Amino acid sequence: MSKRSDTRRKRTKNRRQNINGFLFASPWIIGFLCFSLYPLVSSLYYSFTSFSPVSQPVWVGLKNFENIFTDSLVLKALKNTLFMSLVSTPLNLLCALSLALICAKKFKARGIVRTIYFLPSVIPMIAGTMVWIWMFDPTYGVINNVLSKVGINGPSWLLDPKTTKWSLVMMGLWNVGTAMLVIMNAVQEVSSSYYEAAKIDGANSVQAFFHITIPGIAHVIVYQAILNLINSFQYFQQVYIIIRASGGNAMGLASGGPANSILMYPLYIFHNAFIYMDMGKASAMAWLLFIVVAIMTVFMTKATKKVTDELGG
Amino acid sequence: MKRKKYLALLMVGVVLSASIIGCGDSGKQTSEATSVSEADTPKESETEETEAVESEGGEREIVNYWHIHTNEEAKVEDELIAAYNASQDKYEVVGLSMTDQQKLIVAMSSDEGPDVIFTSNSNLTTYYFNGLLYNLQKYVERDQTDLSQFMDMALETCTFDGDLYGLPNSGGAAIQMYYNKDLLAAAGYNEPPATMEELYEMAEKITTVTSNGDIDVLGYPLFPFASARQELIYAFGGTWWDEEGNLTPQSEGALESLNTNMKFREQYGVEQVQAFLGTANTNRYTEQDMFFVGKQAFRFDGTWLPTMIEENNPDLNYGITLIPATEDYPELRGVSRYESGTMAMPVNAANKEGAWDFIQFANGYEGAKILNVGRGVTPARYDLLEDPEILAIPGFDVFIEANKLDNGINYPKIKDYAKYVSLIDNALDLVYNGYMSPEEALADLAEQCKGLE
Amino acid sequence: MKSSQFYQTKRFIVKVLSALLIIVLCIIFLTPFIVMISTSFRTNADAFTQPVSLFPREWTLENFPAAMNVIPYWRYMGNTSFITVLSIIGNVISTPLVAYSLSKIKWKGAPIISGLLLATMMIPYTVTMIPLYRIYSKLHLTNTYIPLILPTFFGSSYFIVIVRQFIGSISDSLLESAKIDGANEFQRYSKIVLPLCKPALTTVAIYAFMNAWSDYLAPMIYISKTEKLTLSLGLQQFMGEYSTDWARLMAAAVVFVIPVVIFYIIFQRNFVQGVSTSGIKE
Repeated sequence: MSKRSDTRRKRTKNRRQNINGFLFASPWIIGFLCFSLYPLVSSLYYSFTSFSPVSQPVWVGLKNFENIFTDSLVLKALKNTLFMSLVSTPLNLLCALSLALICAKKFKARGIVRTIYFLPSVIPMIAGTMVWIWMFDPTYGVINNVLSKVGINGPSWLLDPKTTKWSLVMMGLWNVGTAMLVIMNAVQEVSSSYYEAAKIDGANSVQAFFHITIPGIAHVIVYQAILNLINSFQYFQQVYIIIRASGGNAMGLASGGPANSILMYPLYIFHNAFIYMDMGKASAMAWLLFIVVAIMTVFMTKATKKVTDELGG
Repeated sequence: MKRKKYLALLMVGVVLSASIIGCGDSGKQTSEATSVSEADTPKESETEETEAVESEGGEREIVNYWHIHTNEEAKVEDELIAAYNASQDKYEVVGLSMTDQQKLIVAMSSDEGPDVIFTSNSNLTTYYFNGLLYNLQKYVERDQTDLSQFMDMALETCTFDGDLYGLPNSGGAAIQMYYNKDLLAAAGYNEPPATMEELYEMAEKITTVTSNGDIDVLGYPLFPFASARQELIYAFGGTWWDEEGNLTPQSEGALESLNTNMKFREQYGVEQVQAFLGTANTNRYTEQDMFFVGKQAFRFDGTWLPTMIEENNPDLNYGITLIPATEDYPELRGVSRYESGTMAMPVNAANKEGAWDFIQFANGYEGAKILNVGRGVTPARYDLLEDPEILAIPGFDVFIEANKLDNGINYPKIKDYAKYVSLIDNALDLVYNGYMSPEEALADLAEQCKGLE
Repeated sequence: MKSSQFYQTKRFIVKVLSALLIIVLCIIFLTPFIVMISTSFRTNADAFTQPVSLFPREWTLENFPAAMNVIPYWRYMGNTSFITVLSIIGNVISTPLVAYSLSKIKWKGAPIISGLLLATMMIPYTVTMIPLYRIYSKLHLTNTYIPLILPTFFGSSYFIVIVRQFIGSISDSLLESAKIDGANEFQRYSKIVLPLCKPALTTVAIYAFMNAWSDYLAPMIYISKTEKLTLSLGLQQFMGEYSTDWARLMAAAVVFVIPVVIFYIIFQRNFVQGVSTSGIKE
């Protein structure tokens, strides 16, 4: 008899848990449905239609995708974005790691140094971007000025198709503060007993670094790599501002920078949506981006698990 | 710890009070952002709801007018608006300087956009093809508007599919050649060149280089970029489209122009030229503008330049003449893009009657005169050509002569115009930086254009 | 003797070189700030004169009031503050609710939602941009701040992860004893968990502040009426049709950045904490 009432009590308890859990999480659930799921699904639907801000969607089947695959600018945008992903990500990580190692050590001015390295990633991106644009000015900017003092004739950073993306890379390196902090934290958490044991075994600092530090922070580095990679596919604000700053209308409404060298994929989506007013095609492009990002994230998460399992954490 | 808490509270207090001020302030400021004018006309302050307020016996209906002018030109717009508001008491026009094309498009497609816009004919085409413009033909027919005084070519720029979508405010072969008399004289020339060949010769003699190879004075008219894309090509007989609106990315003239262009650049160093142009771009139309400070010998620029020179460097010894043509095509002298400033009504305009009334006034004799004289642009009306104030605008003799030659090149009325231009710019970037030869780049361009309408 | 001396000199050299490296890096990272401040105190004519100098030849204060005239600066600051304060409130209210649900309530939806949480962080902004824009447009909510503020009241995945971590570390026995004392779920949440969450919530508030203050994309898409712009958009107005007004732009940028810097200096520890906890994998 008591067993049946036990199970009944458990069931009511479970039901109450479910209700409570649902209620507490309801803000997110509603938000998810309205701001994530619904737009995601509509976007998919829109990919198969053609419409503009002033017209209703009209079904066109696969036409948008055909268009995308024959559009040379899509290819260009992809190339540009991939460049940033493949070049910027490792460089950013290297920079973050180096700075983290510096800040992990105890020295007198550590607090101030850490602040200086972290501050750039804290200020609003638009302000930072604008200062960099000004610094990159070929004649009046501080960078070329300093270069000329050591006898180098600096290039037209944001006007020469060869150097525009490298300028973006430089701007990215300046912003590694957040990653630096995360890595620094991880470095500090590696138990000092490992280092002591290594020292006893006669290992020098370089060996200790590679055999203790790196494995100890591997999962954090990989996580940051994933984040960085996903971010590199979202490059919009900086390139938009850079292009607007270099004489906006003179270069045509929908410029992607000199020789379209900084036409990033999200920027091109934006052009298609709001300047060429082809929102169907823009939706299609966006969904393709989503699929790529999703695949990459899943792939890299699995890779993370494998790496951390192998290294034994 | 205590100090921290205190500071935090202070910050929150500042933020909160700022936000309260920000909210409460909404009734006070007018919506004119960049026109800082010494207002001699009283501006009525308006509330947040500036959309068409129904007139309640005596209260004016609001008409929102967004134009693309800033600074001095914005003040001229203010004059126009004041004149209109004073001339009648049914409507009140509220002006806004909106230079962000992006925002304008977004606003026009929503129902929070302007009632009237001022834009150039190149943008008008884009707006038309995206269904953003209201067909004015019915109004014209209903009110029997007298269009006879508008120049044919100007009206042509506002006409799509036989119907009128705007009224032209200014128009003409907008770009001609400015030259620095002092620089020419120093090189031994008393007359400006009449052909492109002569121009090139002079450019070579005048261009000077500093000791480390940087360009000090630029002889060839490579700047502004827009003119390099258009007039510099047109002068050689090249075109990017034909009269029916078909795209012609590989015209002979374009190729010849680009080859000459690259010849010059390679002579002085492709990178040095780009560096000079970069600076020119940073300084454009400011006090340090390369032409204003005597670092550019020739410049293909517009009717607005004399007014700007007046403001920034009145001592500049310059002259204006028709754009030269090549020896093969002398009839192309004075060729330039045909640019008109037009006023149109977005399809979502809230107050269409008021908008139409204002458009008519602004492009009538009185209204157009204010804008044309103030901005220093050639009128789109025949009757204004007789007006002494118009004739007194510096440089007008050349521009009016150019208009008479009828060599203006109209923008094509194609849907993908904006995209085509961006592809052209792309190709030109590749050529100018030495990545592709002109021939390759234009062939590439032709490939990319295949899908465009 | 010799080898230890050599060792000591080697250590000394390494120390000096490291110090140099650190200092050089600091200078590099500080340069943009120096340029920003320096340019804001000089006239355009000075900035555009060659030979170029880092510091103004003549220091001037004129850019600051002038910048306030070019754009309605205080109005924009008010707008931005308004949005920011509401965003902070929205986040601080909604985040712990959801985090509590995922962390302390054992119900069948919890693992599903946790998985979805990460999935939503993967969705690029451009995918949801167009449909959301259409919806808001149809509801006539463009040119209001609702599109910017509303989402914050429904929980942001990123913040939920941080707070969930934190709540997870609250001892279960504490909650158990409260339950025995008769507290219901909501009371356990509001009287025990919430007060204990303060550090994590402070972190959330700080990050919400940063996001809202600097937000560019959302205002750009939804706000076009000049009087409603935010500061980040306002800065853009210094980029004119032809050329950019650098001196005044830098002045405006300086004023834009200062609150953020002050905030950071005050709440440094929270920043560091928040960033560190977000780095740990789930």
